[in-house]
Amino acid sequence: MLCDRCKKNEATIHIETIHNGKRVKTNLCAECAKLEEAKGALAALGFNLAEVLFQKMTNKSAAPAEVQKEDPASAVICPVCHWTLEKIKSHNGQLGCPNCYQAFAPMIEDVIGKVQKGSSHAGKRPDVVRAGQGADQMELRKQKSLLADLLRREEYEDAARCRDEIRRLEKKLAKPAAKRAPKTKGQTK
Amino acid sequence: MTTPEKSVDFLLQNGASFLAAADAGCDIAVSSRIRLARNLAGIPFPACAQDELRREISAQICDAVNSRNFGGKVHLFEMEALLPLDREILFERHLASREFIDRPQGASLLVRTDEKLALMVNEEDHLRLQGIAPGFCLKELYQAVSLVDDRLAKKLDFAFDDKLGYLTSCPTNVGTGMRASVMLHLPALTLSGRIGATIQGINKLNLAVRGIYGEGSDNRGNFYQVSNQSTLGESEEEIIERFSAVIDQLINFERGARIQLLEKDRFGWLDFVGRSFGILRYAYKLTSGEALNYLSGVRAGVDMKLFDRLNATTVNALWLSIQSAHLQKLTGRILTESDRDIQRAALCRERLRAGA
Ligand SMILES: [Zn+2]
Ligand SMILES: [Zn+2]
Repeated sequence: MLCDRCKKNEATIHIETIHNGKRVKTNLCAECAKLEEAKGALAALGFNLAEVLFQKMTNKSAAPAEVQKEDPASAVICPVCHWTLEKIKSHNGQLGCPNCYQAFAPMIEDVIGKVQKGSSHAGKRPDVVRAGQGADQMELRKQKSLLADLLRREEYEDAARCRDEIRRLEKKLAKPAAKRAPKTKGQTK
Repeated sequence: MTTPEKSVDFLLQNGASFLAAADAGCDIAVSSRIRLARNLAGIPFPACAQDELRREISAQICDAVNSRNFGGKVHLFEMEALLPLDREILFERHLASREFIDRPQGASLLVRTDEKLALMVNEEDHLRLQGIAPGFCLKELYQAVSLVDDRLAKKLDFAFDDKLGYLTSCPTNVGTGMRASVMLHLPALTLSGRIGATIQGINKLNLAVRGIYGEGSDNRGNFYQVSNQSTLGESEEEIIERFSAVIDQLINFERGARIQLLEKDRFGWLDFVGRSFGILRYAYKLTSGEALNYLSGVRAGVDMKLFDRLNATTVNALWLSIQSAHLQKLTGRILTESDRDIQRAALCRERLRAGA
């Protein structure tokens, strides 16, 4: 087996990490393992997971070098920053600009599926914050997690009160959400 | 806004910064950290940006930050203008990352005087806002950091997608862009050989664990940093809630392991503490690895109230000042490796003289 990092030497060190219940195997040669270790990355492998995943993705589809050239995925270029998949790989899975999320959408979706718990954002939003409703937004998320807690403990009376509060907050927050700017705003310059 | 600082020296008067003022509640969870990643909409990420653009980004962000929205006086450090030793100090104080100081062009660090709030501009993302405090306090920390984020969001246009949330340079951070981490001191789990199984258990819960000091997996000083891996699909509060429950459990494991060691291998455990103190108190040469390991023993002794006149603050201050850059600042000159070992031992002897 070849080393995932340099793709030259025989891999002698095999590391297994588990993400969202899925096993991810990294195979390194002694030389690369040393390099990785020097960066302190070996133990923190989770943070460099994107690198490993991006590398695997393109290798799997193209073993011989001639095929790789025709691989449509490697021909994609982000129109804003002009980065290619090759470039992303050489930067440990870091993207070139916010627009890369659109340019490389199918590949990024794949990476997200492997490393993230969910596929859509459930946290705070800058538009709501700008509308001066950051506190309400945070309260809403708190109430929602409280509701789940109360239902689990079968405390239905408190849960009903909590649900009313959630409805009230949602109504209050509905206004600026409707005026929300389109999602591509500011991403292409 | 703020004029750039010429040196980091005034920070050294803060003592052990994030480790300072440690009280009884901070014995196992030594410190907590919340970090938010944010980027400016439509602008290439730092890795892709040319040096000139990085400087422009830096100017724009530094302009948006002032003492009022930072909750206290804020200091600006431009990495290009700092001496390498000063940059190293910022790294050792957990204010800057290795990657950040390795590409100083357009890299700026904004730090509140108490060092509990810091903002790296042009690390992997345009903004890396971090809150750090002693003990186990993720919820309070998140509220404080989130408030600063709110204030910045009113002045800066952050890259945000309806579905994916905050867009970050690496898809491993997308969504909330939040990394919560807790630094744990786990000598009993390590000594009793149960740390391996514990780490495996933590990994299964989709959390990352790494040794703090030493290179890679070679962990020294029995310090471990645990952090959340997933940033997308749950709200910040949910992530912190789930993560805190695991940390609570880990703290209980360590407490249990300490009690067990005292019962089953009383003299082995006491010997670890006493020997650690003895070596630090009387050695004339100490590598940083040795010092970290023995400090772990002394700290465990302090936690168990085995020393009359030695407290956690003294040990915490040593943890910070035995690192190479701090040692060199303290002695006022550049030291070779073997000089450092001699100075490190001298520092430990002096600080522990009042102990025992
Ligand atoms: Zn290799
Ligand atoms: Zn791009």
